[in-house]
Amino acid sequence: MKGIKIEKLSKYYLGPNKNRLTVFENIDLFIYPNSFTTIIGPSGCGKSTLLQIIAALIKPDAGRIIIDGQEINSPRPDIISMVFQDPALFPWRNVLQNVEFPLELKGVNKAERRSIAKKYISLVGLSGFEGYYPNQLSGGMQQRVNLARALITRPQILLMDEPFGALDEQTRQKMAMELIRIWQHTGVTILFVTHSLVEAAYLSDRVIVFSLRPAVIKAIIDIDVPRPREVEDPQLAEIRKRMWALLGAE
Amino acid sequence: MVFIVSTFIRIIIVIVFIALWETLPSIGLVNELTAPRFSMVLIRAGELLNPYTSSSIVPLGFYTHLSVTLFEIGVAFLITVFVAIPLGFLIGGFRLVTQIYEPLIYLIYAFPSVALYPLVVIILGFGPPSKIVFGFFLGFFPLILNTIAALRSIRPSYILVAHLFGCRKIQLLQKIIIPASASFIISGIRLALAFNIIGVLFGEIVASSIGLGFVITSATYKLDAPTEYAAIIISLTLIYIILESISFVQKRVFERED
Repeated sequence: MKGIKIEKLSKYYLGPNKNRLTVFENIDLFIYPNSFTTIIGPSGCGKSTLLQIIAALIKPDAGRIIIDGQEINSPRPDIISMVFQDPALFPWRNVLQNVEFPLELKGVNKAERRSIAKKYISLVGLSGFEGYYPNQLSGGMQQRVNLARALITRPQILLMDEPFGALDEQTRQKMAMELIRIWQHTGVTILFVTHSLVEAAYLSDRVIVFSLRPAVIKAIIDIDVPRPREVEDPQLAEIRKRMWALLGAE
Repeated sequence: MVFIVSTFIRIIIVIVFIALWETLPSIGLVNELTAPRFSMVLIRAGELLNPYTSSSIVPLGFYTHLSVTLFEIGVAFLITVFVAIPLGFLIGGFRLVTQIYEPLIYLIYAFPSVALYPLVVIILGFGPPSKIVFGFFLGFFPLILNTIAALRSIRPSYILVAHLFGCRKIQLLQKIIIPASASFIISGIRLALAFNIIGVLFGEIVASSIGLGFVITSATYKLDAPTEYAAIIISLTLIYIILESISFVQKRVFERED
């Protein structure tokens, strides 16, 4: 599995009065291979923008993204996959057809992609729901399908942009536990964005705290609490308190 | 349960309406010369639909008129679909082009198009071409506007996901844009067909020598109210069947969405 090298990355937006707004400037960061890294920060600090730049869905104004010595300039489904907060499942396709979509684009033959899709559907715990349509599934189940679709390309890197943001607390915790299991099973490098400090502390090897506009990296917190973890672990509570203090200073 | 109740009430309303229609003219509350009782209209409809008696009521027989009208509607509909949908994709596919053309289309759409019909007759004559063109004209705008709106309504996240997985242009059209907009476009097709029918029938009623609209007008001129009502009822039934069959297909195909 591969790490992500972010080099001198800058992104600007044109404001309402044609003035240049800095989203972030000269960000340098290295995301370790196989790690679970989380970015937290106030709303509008450019976390989502950073993820979309890494996925090459939008272009940076300066700087580079380097993965395994290669600069990333266009979407690379073989290396990078992404999960958005909006599951964005296609309502005209059932679960199986949604999950196999990336392989269909690649031209993998039907029988093969079906059998691979079934494997990933079972990985996210949805065996038996292959024929269901998205509107027949709960929010949590939809996000599982989304996860299976993102993993089916066997990416080296999985970017997750507030994937559980729209789910209720109980489903959220369950999904977090499932995600750790899947991460350990696949060994994929995960870069995760969330607003939830509980989630950040529970999931991550390392948390990167962003500050608001222009976003700079305010702190990097390594969490070496052994897994499996308990949400109520006092060490994690201590880390949450630290993150809260860092964010609260905004 | 709600469905059963509403269907039941609907049937009751129709029965009451028919009962009033039958009784009011026969007790003399309504002039039977302009509003013949329901049973008379029904009998006349039967005579019109019976190939052996229909040519004694209308020249050339009812089925000649029916087939001319269906032909005109069919041609107008096909032209509408094959012109409005591709043009809608062309216009809706590019934001700048949409910004240029959409207000124009709305402007023409808002124009009372019946005012243009005499012009169409002057140019194309009394025959079927003027009806086809007018039917097309009425159907074109709802369909092109629906197509543009359908493209605009595609969720940006679908496109984002497609790009993420390396979707090529042609795949984007085939696997995302067309299926994502299909339901909306089919609603547009149904609307367009309804307007095609209105255009063709209107055209025939105003100026023609053949077609269902002609049957209605010529019966009016002859003060033959039963034939007029019968022709209207048959036309309505026909329109209902055509439009409902599109709705039926739409529901079957898209029931899993939304």
